[in-house]
Amino acid sequence: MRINFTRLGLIIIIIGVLLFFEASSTHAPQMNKLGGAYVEPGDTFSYGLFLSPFGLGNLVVESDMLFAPTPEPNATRDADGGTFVDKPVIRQEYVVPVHLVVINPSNLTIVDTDLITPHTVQIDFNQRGKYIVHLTNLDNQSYPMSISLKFPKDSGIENIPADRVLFSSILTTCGVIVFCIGLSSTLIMKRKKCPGKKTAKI
Amino acid sequence: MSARKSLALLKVEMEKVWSRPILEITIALMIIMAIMYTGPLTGIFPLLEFDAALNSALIGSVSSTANSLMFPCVIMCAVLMTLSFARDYEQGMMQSILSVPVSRGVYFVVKFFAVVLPLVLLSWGVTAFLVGLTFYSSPWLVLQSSFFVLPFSFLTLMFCGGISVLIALIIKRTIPSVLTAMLANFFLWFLTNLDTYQLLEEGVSYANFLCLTPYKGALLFLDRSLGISSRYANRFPDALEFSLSGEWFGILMVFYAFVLVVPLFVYFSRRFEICE
Repeated sequence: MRINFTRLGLIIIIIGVLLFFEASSTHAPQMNKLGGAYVEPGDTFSYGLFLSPFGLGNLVVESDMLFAPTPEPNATRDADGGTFVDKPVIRQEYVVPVHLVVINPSNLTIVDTDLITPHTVQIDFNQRGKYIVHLTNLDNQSYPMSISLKFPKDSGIENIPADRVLFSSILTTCGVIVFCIGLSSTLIMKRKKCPGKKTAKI
Repeated sequence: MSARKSLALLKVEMEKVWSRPILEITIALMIIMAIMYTGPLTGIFPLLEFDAALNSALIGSVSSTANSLMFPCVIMCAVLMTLSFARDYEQGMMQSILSVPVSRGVYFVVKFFAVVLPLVLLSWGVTAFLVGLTFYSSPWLVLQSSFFVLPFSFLTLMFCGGISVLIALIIKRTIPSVLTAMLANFFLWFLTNLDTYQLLEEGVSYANFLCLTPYKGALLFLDRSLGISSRYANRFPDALEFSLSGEWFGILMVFYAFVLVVPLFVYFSRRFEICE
């Protein structure tokens, strides 16, 4: 079976171009947060981050807790016995010394530092995969620990998945090469099949 | 008729059906639909739950990609199948081919699978490729979970092909049969977009039976095969969508796949008048 390189090249170009547009229009989600679990003094809580290589991002380490507002003594009760409270949720923030370790997907430690919450660490997420974050409570009381990931839009940095952009660019280039090979081989074959007017002149 | 001749016929039919630019358009449509409905995956999980969460995200990604590919697959299958049967009949190609010693049964099977098989393989390939792009760190898991797309696409497209051939053989005119097949398949696909949970909440009478429709049933079959269960299952434990097991949906899909194709095969082989 003969492979039609022109068609193959065209299909690869289509896939490459579509993936390139998708990759270059994909931006990192602005914020992801997880946590709130109490960490005992000296204990370590570990998180796993699954990320695309979005580039520079901010890892925010916090120790905070949300509290429901207390209802007024004369608040009206509904049928289920609940009360309507027209007050915002109270956020209590703690200042806690912690030890932070971040390991990238190649098992290299990229951050290993002591800090005081709330604190923001800038990390270059240059690989796709699992980033491990270890948080150790260095205080002598237990505190709720949480981490969040922020990719601010106004920082001027394009947080697009670099691996996809690279892959789609390579795919498009390969497609163009295969397409050109197919086109030139078709032209050569046509010339060989029909030598043209030269024969007629002889 | 020898297997070699049948394969030669299949090759000719596939070259005719998938001629330029049909294959290119199909691939472009599939990629566009898949990337429109699947966003980038980022997440923070407790380390102990990380592997389980990632596996669940991967399986969810396979399911959502296959789900988004259903529309282009169904529409292309409807168009190509009706074109293959109705146009060949209208142009007299069918009469010419069947005037040489070619078995009617083999001709039907060749025409049918020249459309269905490439679409099934494309659907699987695009799913594995796009999910693999996100989760390339675990290629075996991607390959393993994307294999579930093969039976799902095959059974779905068998039904879609069956309904399209039925329309083509009844109408026998190219444009009207293409439009009718597209509309019929679009309607059946549209039912998959209805939110059963919301309809059950509102007390709509037909909501309980939506899962028995061919394409919705196929999606539920895929989800059950991948081990995905609905979060509303506890809310409506008696509803058919949440109470029927994956095996039941599998049996239902096999029934749908053959309920039209087998009678059509028998009709085409024995009764169909090609010399009108």
